[in-house]
Amino acid sequence: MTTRVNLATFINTTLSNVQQSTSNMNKLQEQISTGKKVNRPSDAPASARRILSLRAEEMRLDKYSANIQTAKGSLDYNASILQNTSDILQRITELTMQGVSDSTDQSGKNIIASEINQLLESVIQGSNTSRAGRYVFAGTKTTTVPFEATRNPNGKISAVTYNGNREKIEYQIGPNANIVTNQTGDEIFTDSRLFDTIIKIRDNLANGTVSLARNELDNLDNASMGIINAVAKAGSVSSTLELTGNRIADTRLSLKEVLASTESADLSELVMRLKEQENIFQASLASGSYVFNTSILDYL
Amino acid sequence: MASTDLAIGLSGLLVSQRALQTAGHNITNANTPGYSRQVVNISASTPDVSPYGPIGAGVTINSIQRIKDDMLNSQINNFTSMLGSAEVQNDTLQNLEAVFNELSEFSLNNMIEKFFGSIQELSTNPELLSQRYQMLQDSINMTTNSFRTLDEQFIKLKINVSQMIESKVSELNGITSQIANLNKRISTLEFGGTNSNANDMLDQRDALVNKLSKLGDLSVIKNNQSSSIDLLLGGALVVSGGNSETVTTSITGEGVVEIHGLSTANINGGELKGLLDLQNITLPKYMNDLDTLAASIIKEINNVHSEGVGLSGGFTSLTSTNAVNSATASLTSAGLPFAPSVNTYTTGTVTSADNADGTTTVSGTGTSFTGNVKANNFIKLNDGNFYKVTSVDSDTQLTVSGALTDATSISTDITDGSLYVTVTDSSNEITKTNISIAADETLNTLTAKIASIANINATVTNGTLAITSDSGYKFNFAKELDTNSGTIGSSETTLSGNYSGNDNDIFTLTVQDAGSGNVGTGSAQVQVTDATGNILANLDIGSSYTVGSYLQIADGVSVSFDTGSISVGNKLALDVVSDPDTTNVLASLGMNTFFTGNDASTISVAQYIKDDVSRIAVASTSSPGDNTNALRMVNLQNIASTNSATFSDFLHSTVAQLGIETAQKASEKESFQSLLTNLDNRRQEISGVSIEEEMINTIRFQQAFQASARYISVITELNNVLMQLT
Repeated sequence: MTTRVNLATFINTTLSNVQQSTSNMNKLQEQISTGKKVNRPSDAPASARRILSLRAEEMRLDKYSANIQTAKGSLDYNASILQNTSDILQRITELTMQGVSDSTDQSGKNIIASEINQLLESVIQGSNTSRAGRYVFAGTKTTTVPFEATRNPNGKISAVTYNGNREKIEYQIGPNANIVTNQTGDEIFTDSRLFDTIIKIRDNLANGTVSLARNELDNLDNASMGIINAVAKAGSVSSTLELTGNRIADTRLSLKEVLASTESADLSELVMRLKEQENIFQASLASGSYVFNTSILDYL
Repeated sequence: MASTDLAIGLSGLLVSQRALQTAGHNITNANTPGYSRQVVNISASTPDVSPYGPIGAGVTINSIQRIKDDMLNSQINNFTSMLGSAEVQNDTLQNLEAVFNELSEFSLNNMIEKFFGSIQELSTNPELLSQRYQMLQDSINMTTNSFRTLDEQFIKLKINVSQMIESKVSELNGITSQIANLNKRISTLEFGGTNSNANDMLDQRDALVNKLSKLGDLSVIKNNQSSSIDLLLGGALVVSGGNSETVTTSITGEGVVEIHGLSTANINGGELKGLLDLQNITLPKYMNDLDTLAASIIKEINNVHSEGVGLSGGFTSLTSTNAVNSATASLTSAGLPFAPSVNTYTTGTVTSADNADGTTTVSGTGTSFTGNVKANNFIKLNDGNFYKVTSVDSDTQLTVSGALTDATSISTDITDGSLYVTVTDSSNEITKTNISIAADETLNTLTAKIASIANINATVTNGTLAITSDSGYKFNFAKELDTNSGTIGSSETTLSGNYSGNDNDIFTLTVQDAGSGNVGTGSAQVQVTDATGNILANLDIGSSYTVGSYLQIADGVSVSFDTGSISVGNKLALDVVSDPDTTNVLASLGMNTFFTGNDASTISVAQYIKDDVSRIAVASTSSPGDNTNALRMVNLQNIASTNSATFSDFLHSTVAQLGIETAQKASEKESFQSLLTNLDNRRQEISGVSIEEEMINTIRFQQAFQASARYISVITELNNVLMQLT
C-alpha cells in the first residue's frame, strides 16, 4: 500500500527539520560567541556544579594567597627590623668590651656610655616600629605604642615598660589552617630583659663600676641570641609561607586548567559542527523549495 | 421507459456534480487546520423490478464522509497534553535559570564567596575602617543585590505563573462553551438521519478538543444517540451535551491561584498541570532552598558575630532587635525568628554502656561529635534517647550523665546551656559571669539573671531586651580570657592566649608543692585540671621559674604567676570559653547581630552596622588588632550547617538540581514535539487533502458528468426518433 503524502506532510517535516537545524546552530553559535560550552546549568548540570565549586575554590585560593603575601610582608619586615636591632646590639657588645677594658679611662668610658645611650634610643625606636599605622611588636594592641620609656631628669632612659599584650595575630592560609604572623614585644625584648641590661651597662660604665658592667655581658649575649632567634623564626615562617604560597599557586594553576577544560568550548570543533549544521540547513531548504514547487497543476 | 432512462442520466449528472463540489470543497480547505478530507460515497441505486430480474436504476449518493482515524486523533490529543505541560514547565524553568544566572560574574555563588573573602581581608586588617566599609559593601551586595533581588525575581515569576493559570482557565471556559454550542448544532443536524454527517462542524469540534487537550488531559465520552460529546477534565464534567461548566479561580492570601469546579489533583497533563506544578511545587521548592540558605547564613554569622566585639571593645548599651511576643513564654515558643537551639544529633548509630560512676559512655560509628556536640548540651541520639553531655571524648565517643528516655519536654526546650557575660571596668579588669540558660527560659527570667550581674542593668521593653552598663563599665559576650584572672595564695596570675578547645571548660589550678612558701622558690608546683578532673599540665614555679613569665597550660592558654606566698591546696578556677553562648540565645534575640531578617526576602545588614562599621565584631577582645572572631566567621564556610552541606555546596546542588530539571523538561518537550510531528504527518496521510488527488478526481467526475450529459442527449435523440414514427 502506498502512503498518501501531501504538501502539508512535506511542509511539516521540512519545517520541523529546519527548526531543529536553526536551534542547533543557535546553540553552537552561542557556545562559539561566549567561548563557553556551559552557558546555563541545564546545558550540563554536572559540569555546572563543578564549575561553581571550582570558581568558589579559586576565589578562596586567591584570598589565601593574598593572606600569605600580607603575612610574608609583615614577617619579612619584622625580620629586617630585628636584624637591624641585632646589628645595633653587636655594636653595643663591642663598645661594652671596649668600655670594660682597663685601657679605657673614665672619660673614654663616659663617651662610650653616651654612645650606648644613643644606641639604646635606636633599639627602642626599632621596637616601636609601626607599619601601615600598626605597631608591629604590640601584640593585638596594634594602635598602642608598645614600649614606653621612663626618663630621669636629664632625659636619659631609666626604665622601659611594655604596653602591648602577648596575643598572637593569626591569618588563615587554608581551610582551618592558620599561621601566626607576629612576635610580641615582650617575648622578644622584655623577657630577655634587653632594655634593663643596656641601661645597666650604660650606667655602670658612666659610674665606673666596671665589674658590674662586665657582669651584664652575658645577659646582653642572651638578649642578642633572643633577637637572632626571633629573626630566624620569622625567616623560617616566611619561607614556609613561601612554599605554601607556591603550592597554592600551583593548585590554582591546575584548578584553572580544570575550569577551562570544563567550561571552555573547543572552537575548532564547534566551527566544524556549525558548518555541518549549516550544510544540513541549506540542503533541507533547497530540497524543500524544489518539492514545494512541483505540482500536478503544472501538467494540466 | 423514457422517463426511467432520463432519470438514470440525471442521477449520473447530479452525483458527478456533488463529487465535483466535494473535490472543490477539499481543495479550498487544503490549508484549514483540523480539516479532514471528505469523500462522496456512491453506490448503484436500488434496481427496478422487471420480469427479467432487477434492472439498474442509476447511481445514488450514500453519504459524504470525512476520512479520519479516531484512534490517531486521541493519541494526538494525549501527546498534546503532555507537550503542553512540558512546554510551560520548560519555559518557566528556563526563566528561573536566567534569574539565578549562576554562571555569571554576579551570581549568588560569587557574592557569597566575596562576602567571606572580605571577612578574610578584614581579618588581616582589623584596624582599617576602609576594609570595614569594603566588607559592608560586599555584605550589602550579597543581601540586597543577590538574595533579595533573587527573591523578588522569584516572586515575579510566581505571579507570572499565577496570571498564566488565570488566563488559561478563561481560555478553557471559552473553548468548553464553544464545544457545547457545537454539540447542540451537531445534534440538531444529525438528528434522525444516518446520511446527514455534520462533517465540517465535527472537524471544528475535533480541533477545539485538541486545543483543549493542550490545556489539560481530557476524557472524551461519545454519545452515539445525540452525536454530542461529553468532556471530563480533572474528574469533573466540563462539557455535558449542550452545557458547559464554567471553571472559576480565586487567589489565596499567599498569591496562589486556586481553581474551583474541578479537582486539580486529577489533572495529569496539559499546560494547567504544568503551571499548577510550577506554582505549587517547583517554584516553592527553589524559593524554599533560597530561604534555607539565607536563613542558615543569617543564623550562623549572627551566632558568631553576637559573640564578638567591634573596635570599641564592649558595649555600654545594647538592645535586642527581635522582639518576643510574650516575655513570660519560653523563648523557644515566643515568636522569635530563630529559636534558641535544641541540639539533636542523629547521624550514625550509637551504643551506650553504663559506667560505674553513674555516667554513660556513648560510642558511635559514622558520627562526628567533635564540633557538633558540646559539653552541657542535651542531645537526642538516634537510639531515641536524650542525654546530657558531660564531655566529648572523641569524634565517636561521648560521656553522658545517664540516659533520659522520658524527654518529650526536653525535645521542645532550649538546650540547657550557658551564656557568658563579660563586664570590663575602666582599668580593663574583666569579670566573667556564667548564666545558665534553663530549658524553659523566658525573656523575663533571662533578663532577671542578666540584671543580677554587678554593674550592668537589664530591662524588658515591648518584648525587647535592653542591657546597659554602669558608668565606667562595658560589657560583651566575647570568648576573651579573663587576663587578670585572680590570685592563687597571694600570687597574682595573668592569663594569655586564645582558647582553642572545643568545649567551654574550667581550668582549676591547685598548688601541689609550695616550695618554701613563695612563687619562685624550691620545687613549687601547680597542677592544672579541667572540669572533669583530667590533669592538663603540671607547672613548675619553683626556683627555676622566672617570676612573671608565661607557662603553657593547654589549648593555647598560658598563665604567669607574680611573686606571692602560696601554700599547698591553694586553688584558682579559671573559665575558658570557646562558645560564650551555647544556646545561641543572643542570635535569637538579635543582640549585636550582623544580619537582620530570617529568610531571603528579609535578609539585610543590621542598621547599626551600616551606621557604624566599627561595630563589625572582628575581635573577641578590646585590642584593635584582634581578629579571632573574624576567623571564626570565615571558618563557617567550611562547616556543613545547611541541610548537612556547607553554604556553597548547598547552593551548588540547588543550581545543579535546577539544571537537571530544566534539561529534563527541555528534552521532554523536544521528544513530545517530534512525536507530535510524526503523528500529525500520519494524520495528514489519512485526513489531509492532496491537491493532486483532488485534481484527478475533478477530471474523473468532469468526464463522468460529460458522459452522463451525452447519455441524456442520446436518450433524447432516441425519443425524437420514436416521436417521428407516429
